[in-house]
Amino acid sequence: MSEPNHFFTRVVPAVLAAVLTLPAFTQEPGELWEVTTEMQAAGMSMPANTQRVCSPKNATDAPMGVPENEQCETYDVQRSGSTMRWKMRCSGSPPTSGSGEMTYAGKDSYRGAMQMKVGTDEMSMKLSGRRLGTACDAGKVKRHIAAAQAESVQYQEKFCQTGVEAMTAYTFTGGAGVQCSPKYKEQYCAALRTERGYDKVADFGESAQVPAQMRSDLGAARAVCGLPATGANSLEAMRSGLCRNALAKESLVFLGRNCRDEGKDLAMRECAGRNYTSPVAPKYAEFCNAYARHNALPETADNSAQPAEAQPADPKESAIKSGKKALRGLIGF
Amino acid sequence: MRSIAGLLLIGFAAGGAAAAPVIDRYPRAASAYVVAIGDTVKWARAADRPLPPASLTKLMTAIVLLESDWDPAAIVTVSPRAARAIGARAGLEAREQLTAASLLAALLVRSANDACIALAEHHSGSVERFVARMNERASELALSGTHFENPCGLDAPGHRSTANNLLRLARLAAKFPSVAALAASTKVDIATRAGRKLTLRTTNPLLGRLDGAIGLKSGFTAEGGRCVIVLARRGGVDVWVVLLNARDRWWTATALVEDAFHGALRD
Repeated sequence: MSEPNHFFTRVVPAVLAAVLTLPAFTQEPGELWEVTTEMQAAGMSMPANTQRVCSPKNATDAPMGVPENEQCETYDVQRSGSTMRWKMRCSGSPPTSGSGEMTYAGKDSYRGAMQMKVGTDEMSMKLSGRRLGTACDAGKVKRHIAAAQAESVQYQEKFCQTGVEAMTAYTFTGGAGVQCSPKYKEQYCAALRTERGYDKVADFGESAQVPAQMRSDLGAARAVCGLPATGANSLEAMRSGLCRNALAKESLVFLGRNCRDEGKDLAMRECAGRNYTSPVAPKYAEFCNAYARHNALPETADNSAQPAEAQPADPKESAIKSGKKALRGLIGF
Repeated sequence: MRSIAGLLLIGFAAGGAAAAPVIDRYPRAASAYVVAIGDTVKWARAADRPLPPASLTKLMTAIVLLESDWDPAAIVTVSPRAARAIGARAGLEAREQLTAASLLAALLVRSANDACIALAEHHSGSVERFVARMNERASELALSGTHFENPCGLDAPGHRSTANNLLRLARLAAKFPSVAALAASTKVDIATRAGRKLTLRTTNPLLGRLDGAIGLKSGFTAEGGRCVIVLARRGGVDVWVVLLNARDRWWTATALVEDAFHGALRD
């Protein structure tokens, strides 16, 4: 599913551009209409939005003079009595199509509805308008549309920049419905080669609960940057290089979080091998915590001394089993 | 003579077998700690000092829930307050519905504060009434160093417990099969009534890594620091470790467990 933000910053301005100008013409001067829209999209109902729109005065004529959004067009416009029907489509990614119907009550008000499909997502919109009659500058509508489009472009730029900062791979896969220019993907892939970038991506975990197109984990990063599975340019080689560097310059938190093999000796010495009557040295506290949290604990010397004999049935083990049995069906272990 | 009497007093206060003195074998391991082998407290420090218990609090939350008319299949609706909970969360949204068992899993496996609030509200009608019940239960258990201000362990003036009190709470909690099962789980899958699936991974990295580790609860807040209660079982012997405000809880807990099994057991 596309992000709701995508609907309301890119698609909606385009739709409004097409719809709100339906009763409008290119001529000036205009008169004010109060237009209310109620939208449902991405499973969410938006509160009703009321705007004042300046529409050219002879708005009841055929709407073919609509100044169309450069990506969206209305077509197949039909008028029957007081009812007008139309279809619209927008190019871009994802493609958008829809249809609408509007019924005028005389010259002073109308009601209508639109249904749209944006990629695989459906959205619907109820429309109503009433003529206020106050004189206004109809050219304002065009300026509003231009401003909305400019805002949309700014949003996309911001979205792409944020994707680089947050290291979200889905920003660059089109999963959120925004196509970033190649420079942002290059910045993302360059950042992946740094401790900060790699660490952020690694911190996303396996993203098992996230739909495939929205994933930002290491697997997604590898796909975005086209890294091979093995070899000198692989993600693993990149991680290993970062870890060696982290060890050399004592970038301890990165080492603890991402470098199981490279950090093992240090963990054995500073975390596991120390005398436990004294705490871990402050310098290594975060490293030891991070290593324990993100990597397997190395064997301590005493672990080899485990008794191997079979143990008698333990009532507490049966408590775990009976607890799992009681909860099974309600949750999955 | 005075020091021997002091040690005996500490042993008595720690709730151990009273015969064996309690030694502070790890004076710098944590602000307060207790290590017990079976029913006997072996080592301790500041074990009766009230400190912020962070999410170890949730053991009492679980006890209050499970001691009441607990129905694991009951449907609980997540309130806006629960959905806004800060700190560790399962990611629940307002008006989502889950079984009480799913929320208990989120509480104990993921230490989720949104699940914690939802359960408290479901049980008592309000968080405040639930907290009152927690304090009532603490009094009944004679946990004199314990007072709760919330059900989840968030830092708050007066929200305190002691290592000894927490050990007793942990022993009681582990007797509930649901707690024992969830505390030993590294991963649990739950789903909302609408079908949204959530995978909960444990906050306790010792599970599956430290030999014999089967629980029990971790906690971390700014004021309480890094806290943990570890239960490890080998050869039918239980070792309990309670650490409050440990600089390095995982390695320290590992060392204390190993020492308890391989050092003290030979004494």
